[in-house]
Amino acid sequence: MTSERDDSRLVEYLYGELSAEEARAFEDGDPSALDEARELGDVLALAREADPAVDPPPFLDAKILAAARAEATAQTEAKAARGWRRWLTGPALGGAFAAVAATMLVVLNLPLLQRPAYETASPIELRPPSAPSPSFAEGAPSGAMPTTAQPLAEAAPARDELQGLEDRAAALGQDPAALEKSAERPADKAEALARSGGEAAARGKKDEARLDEGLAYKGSGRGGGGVGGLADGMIGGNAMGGGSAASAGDAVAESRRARRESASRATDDAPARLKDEDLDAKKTEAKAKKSAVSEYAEAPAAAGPARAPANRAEADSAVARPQATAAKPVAPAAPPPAAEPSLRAAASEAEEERSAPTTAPAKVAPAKTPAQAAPVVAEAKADASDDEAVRRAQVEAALAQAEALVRAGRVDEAERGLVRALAQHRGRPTGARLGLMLGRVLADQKRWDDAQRYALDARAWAGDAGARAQADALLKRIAQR
Amino acid sequence: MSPADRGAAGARAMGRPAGPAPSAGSASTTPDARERADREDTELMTRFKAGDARAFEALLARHRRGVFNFCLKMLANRAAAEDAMQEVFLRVVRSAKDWQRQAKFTTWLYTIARNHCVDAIRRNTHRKTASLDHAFNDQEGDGTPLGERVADEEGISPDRGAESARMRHLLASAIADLPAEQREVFVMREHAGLPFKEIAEVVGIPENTAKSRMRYALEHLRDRLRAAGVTREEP
Repeated sequence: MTSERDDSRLVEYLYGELSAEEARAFEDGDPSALDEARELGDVLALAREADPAVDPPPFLDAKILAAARAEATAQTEAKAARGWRRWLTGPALGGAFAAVAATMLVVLNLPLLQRPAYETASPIELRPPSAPSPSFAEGAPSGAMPTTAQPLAEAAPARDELQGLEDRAAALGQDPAALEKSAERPADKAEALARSGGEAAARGKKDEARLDEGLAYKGSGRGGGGVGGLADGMIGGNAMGGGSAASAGDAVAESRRARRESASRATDDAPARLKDEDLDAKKTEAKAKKSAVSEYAEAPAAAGPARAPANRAEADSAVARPQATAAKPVAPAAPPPAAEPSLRAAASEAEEERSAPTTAPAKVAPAKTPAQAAPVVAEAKADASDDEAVRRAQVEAALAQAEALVRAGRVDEAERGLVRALAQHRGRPTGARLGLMLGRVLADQKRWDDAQRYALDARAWAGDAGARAQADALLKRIAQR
Repeated sequence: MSPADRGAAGARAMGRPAGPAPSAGSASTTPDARERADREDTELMTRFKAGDARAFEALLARHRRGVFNFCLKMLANRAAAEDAMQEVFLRVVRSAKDWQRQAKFTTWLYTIARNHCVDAIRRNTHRKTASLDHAFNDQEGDGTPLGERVADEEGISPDRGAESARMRHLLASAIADLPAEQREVFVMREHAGLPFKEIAEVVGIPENTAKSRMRYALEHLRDRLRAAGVTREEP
């Protein structure tokens, strides 16, 4: 049994890592150790010669570099997306929004803040009560502030007059008659003021209700609450300033209560209305998808391959923009004359196949022809809310479409269609099938690099071992070119 | 007599043509050359980290052979080694942002490679136990089951060329049969050219332990050769 130190010495001697002196000392030392070192040196030399290092296959480099490029691209894209997301949701933009909002509030309220409280009602622009504020229709609290300060606007001149009368009474001083006379007038005025305040409060309530409708219509509960709070603040300030006029104060208080109630109602209702709007949007989206799928599926069978690309583009865009013109009918593109016979043949063949009784599997059977894809698409249509089914149906249709185009010798169109379809299925097993098909089409055209790229993508996105094996087979074929 | 001379003598004794001892690639490089290579690796990796894709190509070109052979010897299966090599370099790409300039690139690279191989071996333990039934790595491409190859070595053939080929088989199978802890040290030193200090870092053991494992590995190989009737002749 040797110690670890002896082992180290021997190995260092074998590899020439001892200094000259140390090597001499080793050789002059234990003869059995030297003999052992010689034997192991022979084994090492034999191992180096008999079992040399081998080179990896060259295609592996291309594969690694392609995968590395794809990885780097994906990382860059993800980084960019993260950057945008961070910027949009981060403190920079949030701060900017806050700053803009604060600036707007200050600018809008500057005249209010600079004037005496009882004057603040007059500069506020009043709207005809028939329509909600356009700025609220846009969902942003910008422009002239819709407010329920109408009672104050009407009460302000009366308050001014009352103040003037009081001043005059003070100036009259010792004249009891004048004092008595003038004392009656403020009472009258106060009574009139109370009446006008009450009416104004009623009108204010109506305006509040209309304002609520405007707020809730756009579902901007938070904005409504904010505006309500702001209006409350202003009205509260007005009420404090107008404290010398009791009736005006009552009117203001009533108006404020109405405002609070309406603002709170707008805030409470907003989520429910938002939910309704969301549901509506989802329904529209489902409808758009359904319509897109039907157009997408019908294109190859009904009009032949030539019509399909236009319809497919439309279908894709309809799916991408569900609330736009999804159900809009699309004029079929005329097929080029040269390809017409073969297209007709393909269409009739598809029609025949479709009319024949079929036991095609329900969802994800690999369809080879447009007709075989049709049942899958039909089923997906029936369950349009199922995104996965829609996706699979799209892929089936795209594959069938591409196959028909390839058969018709229109490889470029097939490639374009596949690329377009692939753009919506990247990173998914459905995308793997498209990538595989694309890789095969490109490999047939001897566009090896592109074919390899798509084959690698297909391998990366493959959802099962079978798909992975197919991708591997394609990669092997590409490597053996 | 120097170890290199002994290598030549041993080769004669083992039945191979006499001549200078073959080098083990970068295993025989001088410390200076190794330091220079390390600096270049660091430079390339820094450039790659900054987004220079060509730097990665250069790194791949420099280390593809070592990593592939390491994986091949560790996994004893060519297809698995190809997958492993791809995965190792992809991990390098993915983890480039985490790489620190202070870290030695080769140490980092082989740590990744070793971890991957260890995981793969664990996953395929059942296959490993049946290794005598499946073809050993396809370096020779004949797909002969390992058991048959070893059995062939038992008989001595007068044909020198055939004996040389059998010797290769014998050594390959002997290396494959080394305990994993010895095999990784042997392969990292002989095929990847890592110094023992670096091997120790990759494996996470003291340097002297790495050297001990190397000695045991060589003794193991010697015993296998002896058992196959290959004996050492005195010059």
